[in-house]
Amino acid sequence: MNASAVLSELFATQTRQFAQIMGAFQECDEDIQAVVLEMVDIVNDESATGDEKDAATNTIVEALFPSLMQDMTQQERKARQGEAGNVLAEMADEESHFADRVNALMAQQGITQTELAEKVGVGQSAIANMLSRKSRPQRKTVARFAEAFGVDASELMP
Amino acid sequence: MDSICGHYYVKPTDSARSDARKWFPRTRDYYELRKQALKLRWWPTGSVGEHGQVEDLHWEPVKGAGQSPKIHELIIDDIIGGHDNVRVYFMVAPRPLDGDPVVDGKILPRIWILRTMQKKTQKLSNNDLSVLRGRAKIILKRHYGS
Repeated sequence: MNASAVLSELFATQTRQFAQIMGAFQECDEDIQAVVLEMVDIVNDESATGDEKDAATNTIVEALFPSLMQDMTQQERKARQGEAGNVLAEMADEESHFADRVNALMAQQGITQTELAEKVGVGQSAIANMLSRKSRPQRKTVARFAEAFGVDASELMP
Repeated sequence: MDSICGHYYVKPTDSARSDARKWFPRTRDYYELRKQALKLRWWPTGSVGEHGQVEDLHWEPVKGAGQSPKIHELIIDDIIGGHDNVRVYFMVAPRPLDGDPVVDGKILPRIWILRTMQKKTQKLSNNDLSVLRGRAKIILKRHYGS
């Protein structure tokens, strides 16, 4: 195939893609079309950052091809599945270790959940959720727990 | 796997998931963010003030994003995947949808996560605000007809 034929084929492919996108655009109602046009302006704005352009592009895909976006999410979930199991187990172990150590230190130092909540700067329900492993504390919060008990943060969460 | 239900049912938009995959390609970082974002299931019900705390995270409204719907910012303090100033943007749905989880005979209100990003400036840019408003509009039109 010569250069002219390649260019011609490329142009035809892009035109078909444009027609597909235009068709999806025409199927949207006016409000969503307005969102898409605003996002197109961001993508084409030379002063927009890469992050802004990426976010605008994702928004266009969600507006025009919602099922494609859902397929991508499903595929990504499947791809992560094996690794996710190991990662979640590792995190669950950390949360369990944290809850056990905090419970032990509370008993040892005679501190109630309410007193601990005040020292750490969160609500009592947050403490209860963390100790029942429904909620994972931030590292910053683990450091506050450690300060409250007078221990090293790594003792609470490795 | 963590529950996505508490006082609220927390649901990310597909574009918010796509943002998260971009910012946190490592599985561990992705799930660290997910666990923090899911604390929104305990966001206060009823009327909320102008800012507050959910578990060990602070939240505040996004200035300049408009009032209807009101979009809020969840502030993550930890560095995740090497990124500091990580933010999760969300809104409360106007009403429950068919199929939303029922707890104690009551349909849970839904929180939509609209975007995840590293906030690099104090104020969001006009483009960032447009993206948030645009995503909220798509959700409202597609799921709530408004």
